[in-house]
Amino acid sequence: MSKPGDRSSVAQTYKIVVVGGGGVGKSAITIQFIQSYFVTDYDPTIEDSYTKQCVIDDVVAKLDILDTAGQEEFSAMREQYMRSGEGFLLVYSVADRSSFDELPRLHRQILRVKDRDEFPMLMVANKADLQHQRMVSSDEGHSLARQLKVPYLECSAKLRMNVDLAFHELVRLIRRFQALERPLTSSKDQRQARKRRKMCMLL
Amino acid sequence: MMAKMKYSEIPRDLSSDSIAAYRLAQGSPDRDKWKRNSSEGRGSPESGTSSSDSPPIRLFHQQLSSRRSTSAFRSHCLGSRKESPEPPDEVEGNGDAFLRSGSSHRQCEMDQQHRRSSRRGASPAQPTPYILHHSLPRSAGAKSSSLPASARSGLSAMLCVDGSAMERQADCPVQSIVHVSAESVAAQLTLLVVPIFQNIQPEELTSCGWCKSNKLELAPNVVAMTRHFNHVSFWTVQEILNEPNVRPRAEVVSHFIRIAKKLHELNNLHTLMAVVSALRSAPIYRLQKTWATVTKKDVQLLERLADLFSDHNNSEKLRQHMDSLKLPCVPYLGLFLSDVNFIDVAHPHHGGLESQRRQLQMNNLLRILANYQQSDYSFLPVKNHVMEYLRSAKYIEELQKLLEDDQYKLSLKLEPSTPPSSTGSKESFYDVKSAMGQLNVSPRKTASVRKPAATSDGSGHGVKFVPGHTKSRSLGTNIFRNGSNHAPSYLKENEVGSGVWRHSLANHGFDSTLRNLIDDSVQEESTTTTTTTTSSCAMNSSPRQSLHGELDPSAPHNNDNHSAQGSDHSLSGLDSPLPPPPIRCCCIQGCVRKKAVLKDGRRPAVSAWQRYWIQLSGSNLLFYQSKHLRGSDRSDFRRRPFKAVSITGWSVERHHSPRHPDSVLLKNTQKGDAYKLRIVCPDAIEDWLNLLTLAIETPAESSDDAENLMSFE
Repeated sequence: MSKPGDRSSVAQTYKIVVVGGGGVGKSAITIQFIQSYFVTDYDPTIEDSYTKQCVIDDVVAKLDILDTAGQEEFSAMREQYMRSGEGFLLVYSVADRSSFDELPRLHRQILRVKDRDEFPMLMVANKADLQHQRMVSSDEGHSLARQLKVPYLECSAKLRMNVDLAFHELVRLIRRFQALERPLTSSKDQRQARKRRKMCMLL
Repeated sequence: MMAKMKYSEIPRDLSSDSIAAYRLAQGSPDRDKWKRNSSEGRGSPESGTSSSDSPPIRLFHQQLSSRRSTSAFRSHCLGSRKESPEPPDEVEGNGDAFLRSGSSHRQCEMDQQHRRSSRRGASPAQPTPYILHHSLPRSAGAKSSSLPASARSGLSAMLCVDGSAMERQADCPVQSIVHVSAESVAAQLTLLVVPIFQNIQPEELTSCGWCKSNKLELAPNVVAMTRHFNHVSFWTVQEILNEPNVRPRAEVVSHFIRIAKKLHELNNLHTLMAVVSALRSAPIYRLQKTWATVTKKDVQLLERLADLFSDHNNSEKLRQHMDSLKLPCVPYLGLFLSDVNFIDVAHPHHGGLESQRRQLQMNNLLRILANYQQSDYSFLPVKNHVMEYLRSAKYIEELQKLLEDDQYKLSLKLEPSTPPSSTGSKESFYDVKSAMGQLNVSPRKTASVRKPAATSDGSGHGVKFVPGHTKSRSLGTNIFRNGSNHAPSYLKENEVGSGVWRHSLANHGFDSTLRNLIDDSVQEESTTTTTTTTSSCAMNSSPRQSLHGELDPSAPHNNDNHSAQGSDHSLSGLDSPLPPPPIRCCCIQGCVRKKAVLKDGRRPAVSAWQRYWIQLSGSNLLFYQSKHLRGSDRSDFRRRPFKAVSITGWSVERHHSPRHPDSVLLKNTQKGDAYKLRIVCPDAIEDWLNLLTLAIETPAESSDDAENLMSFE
């Protein structure tokens, strides 16, 4: 959201959006990350149920995670929530080819909404524990990731494998991206700027 | 728990109690179901019966009905019925009226045919509780439940082509959405969604059925709500993009902002979210010139409304707003779906007894939802002409992705991206390119494409990158695989790239009349239906279209040949004077009925038997659309192939079904598509099977096919 130094005392907030087809385990990844150990206490309806503060590369970061699991079919609202994201996890399930095939579209949609030719994204192959049900090989995953020019990571929400890593990596990507594009990014600042400028329609 | 506290407070809201009491008096059949799920009687909506708060609601009603605009609009409509002062604008909704103006007899036939086929296609197991109560009285109830609710009701309106056709044509005076008051539109949209919402059963949510493959059976109303949402959203975008000039377009935008405001006043958050999403979707959001023309006040209003749906802090604002408002209300269902989904993941249920936590949290949600379901919107006046207008705009769900791209392209066409100016934002024309596919973008745009980026190519559409897909532009070597890639080719020809939308009726059996809306071509002979409507558009406006003209001279011979034989099926390579290219490669041809059984591994929502003339050439199947409603001679089909499919690697088997013993099952296992072909001439089925089996084993010859098609030149 804000540049480091904006609010020096407060941790920088990163708006992370988890996208992917239905049933790929998005919500499992999110819950695993947010509620590391106490899943039983989890209540999805309270306000701070999707934020987590953590230290990444010795810098405190507050992650605000938007996961629209369950709303996959509301395709018309996808662009709206993509707009607020600063980084995206493109999740698919290795046991579901159609979820894999859906990624390029989501990737493109994000770029379209962001009006960029690249944006912090991380491709996450979930359910890597289901080796015997695997329908998308690592090679395929890697090659699509190369094609889309996003890093690739295999994880398993069930085994809690690489879940934290995925979010941390994404934050690193966002940091790198924002450092490169400082004058251009930061959606909140821009939103304010847009307000000042009577809603300029380009990000 | 914080949330619980809040929720349990809601039912104490007096107005909701009064409505509950009102419903009680009316006898609400669904109430008991919910009761079972409320764990705390205190919080259950049925608890109180105070009616002290009912006057405000009536007041609201009076206010609304006494608004001058409402009656004024009514008289306006009546006036327009007599005088019809408005020129026939290009409004998509007119498709309905337009259709009716055609030969009503033929229409009737087609309707019936479609009704039959759609019934056949419908799964009998599907419940149909989401039939709209507000549909016109003549609407028949038994429609394919696989169609979206709105589409079905629209269909029902069209099915009525008895003597009143002319009257009904005049009855639909809505020429453009801006001519209907925002209030009316908001009210009718609400009336459309309320019955679906009220029909949602608790089990639909607790089972998470809407995420599963048999969602239509498990959660029909949730699915219908989703469809309503998407439908309204796409419709909004389309209405805006249909306006070619900036100033009128801005007026449409403002109008939709006003509609959004009214929806907000009606507490119809579900539809409101759909309209707001549309106004903030990529194709609309980027229309710089349009937004510059919209008044500041409207823009600020939209910002406020959009802010309500901000995802910040787990949709804090929306939750607070929902807690504070009074019934009636249609909440944004997506929020509930997400919450249920997360409860389901956090507290999984593996049969047996549900965990206490899961039960508690689910019941909390269900109780809130049940409370909202008590909403009574009966004070809203039903306006059939507006309803009809809203319903007449529809699209085919399978083509949704295509429609999205389509709308974005249209948006780019209306207001091409400009190089970064004041904003200092990094304009990425790469998006433009990716969106435009193989379109010839204007030089300025192509020049500024930053990256050719393989990432973009063929990226969307849920299809993997196909290196040679530029070929698809010519004739579609493999339409099933690359179907969506065809969009650019027809869009290129198309001035207004809203083909899919316009085409929406085609799938319901009205292809012939709509065709000219799609590609602005001269209206051709009637065809029945097309499954892959997109590809048909692609074909029809494909640059190669004219090339097929060379086939035409041969057709009469063809006819003679067939009529002489008196057969609807012939093995070519006899002495049939077919045009050279088909002869060279054609193994067998004949009339078939085709039906899609699986598309991308799923059962298609709309699937009907359709007649084609097909021709097996090498490993490719060429499809020719029918010209008439019946007839199985070559002459009854078009001369130009409408698509070509490579069946290499597919599987062919005889399909033994009692009803259609003569059918062949053609499967593309790789893609998850399956089609049934019924060979009209039963004697030839063995030949077909043999030749098809041969064809699937022959190596892919897409290039050959392209050559063939090229050789038509």
